[in-house]
Amino acid sequence: MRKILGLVLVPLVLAAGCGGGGGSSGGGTPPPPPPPPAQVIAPPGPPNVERIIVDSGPAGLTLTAVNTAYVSVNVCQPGTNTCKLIDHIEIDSGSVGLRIISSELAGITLPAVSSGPNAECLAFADGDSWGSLAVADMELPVSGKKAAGITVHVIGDPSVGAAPSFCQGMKTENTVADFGANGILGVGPFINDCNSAGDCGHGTQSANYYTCTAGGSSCSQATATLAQQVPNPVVTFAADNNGVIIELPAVSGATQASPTGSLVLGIGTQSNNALGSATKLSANASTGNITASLNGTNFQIAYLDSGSNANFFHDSALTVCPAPNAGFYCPAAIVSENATLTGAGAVTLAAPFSVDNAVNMFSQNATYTAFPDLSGPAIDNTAFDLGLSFFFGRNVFTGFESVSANTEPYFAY
Amino acid sequence: MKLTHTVVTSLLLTAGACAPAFAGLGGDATSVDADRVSVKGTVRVTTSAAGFAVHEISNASGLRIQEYVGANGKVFAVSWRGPGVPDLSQMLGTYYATARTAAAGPHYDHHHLTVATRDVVVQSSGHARSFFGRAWAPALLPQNFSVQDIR
Repeated sequence: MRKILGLVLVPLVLAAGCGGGGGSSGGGTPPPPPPPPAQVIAPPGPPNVERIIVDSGPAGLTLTAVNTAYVSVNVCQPGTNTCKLIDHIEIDSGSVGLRIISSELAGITLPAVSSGPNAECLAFADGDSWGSLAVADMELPVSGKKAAGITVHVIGDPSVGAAPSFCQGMKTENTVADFGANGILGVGPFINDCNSAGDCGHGTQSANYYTCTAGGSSCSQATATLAQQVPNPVVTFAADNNGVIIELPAVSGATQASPTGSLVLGIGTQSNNALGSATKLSANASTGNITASLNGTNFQIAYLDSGSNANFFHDSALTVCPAPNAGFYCPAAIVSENATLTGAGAVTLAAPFSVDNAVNMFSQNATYTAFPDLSGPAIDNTAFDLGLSFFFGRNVFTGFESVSANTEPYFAY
Repeated sequence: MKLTHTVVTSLLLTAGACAPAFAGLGGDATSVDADRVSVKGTVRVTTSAAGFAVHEISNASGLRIQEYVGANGKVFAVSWRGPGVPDLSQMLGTYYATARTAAAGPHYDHHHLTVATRDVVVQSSGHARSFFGRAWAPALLPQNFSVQDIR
């Protein structure tokens, strides 16, 4: 059997009966969504469009990746043409920074950062990644976009030793097999992975910096200045640096094998990346969250995240799949959901999607990797996460914060 | 360390639990306050009519940790919410190794994880600058306690 489990199950007990929530009082029926304009996907190429593929993931995975968007990235020794083209870098709008599994850098040598902390522990929700901080030129091979001399996280780099006890989390994710990708390109709406406006103090964020002796025999907690933190690489581009658009085609039927789409760089900077008729939902400047409602239930923590492989929200009317797929919903028949997203200033946007039976969809074709109707239960009743399922058939904008312009991050589609 | 303790209500606290101390899951609330120290937080204690106390630590960066303490003084559940993820070895205490063993194996969605064993359930989710997680020991839950109340 294949399949990505939103849930790792060891024997027995499953998080018993999640009550509460449900559809209660009125609040009015959201207006019906306007007919969506025909989707236009920018063709990959210069100067600002990179090719995305949603496939089964890199070699070496023991399960097939589903609803995971990848690009290829050319990683170069700074100022040189000595580069390594690395495929299957996950596009994640829910994290920030370029992180590469060290084994994929074989053949080139990236210099360590010249000052400041030289190691990082990055906590994802599902586990921790440990590695060194190095300097690289990042080139996106199709668009030709370049980020010169940026700090990147080299995960699993032996130069800072094996993951220390303080960087274990629920799982260690320091190899391709454990990470599910050869690296990750975090294009979340923040300018770097810790503090947008000042030093990154240790213990304040999911990004934690360290200074290690050679080989990592000793590592101490460190503060990273603004310039020493891992940046959002897109922010460092000379142009088209204020956001990204993830453009994935609609998928016919429940499933489709390996669709391709585009990662468009910049918003409103070229003829191919205008906001157009998309509705802009400004997010909380600190958290990047908006709010949502569904069937009369309000969710205070809502977001669109290409790094989530399903839509995750609590709806007690939906049946959770049996193990080992209990991270997903398995309704008896397809369910239409009409959520409403709300950004700052009470701007609202309809978010219609469907929930189909995950086990049935997975069993239909074991080679398929795109499932627009895949959803699962959120562990947090206040959270509403529209993952990659929601991105198919829509151009989803992630607008970056701007510290200099004092503007908050936003979503749009 | 400069820590403020504010006891908001103490209705059903036993004398021993009155000192707002902290421990990982399964630990003894009166014996340790390592969590408070580790996140450089301030403490608030509330109680519920259901006979358990919630010890809440908040720190300047916005991380909020809750530890749910039963009438027997044992921590039966913990939760965290904020821009980062706390030290889970400390949060999960003696259950950490069991939970990690259960979490081993392929899992590729970096923004959600649920681990369920007979002894401990751990759930974690979130994205950059906005995380939430919780864990509980099923055997330690007070009668009629709903895990949905671990917030």
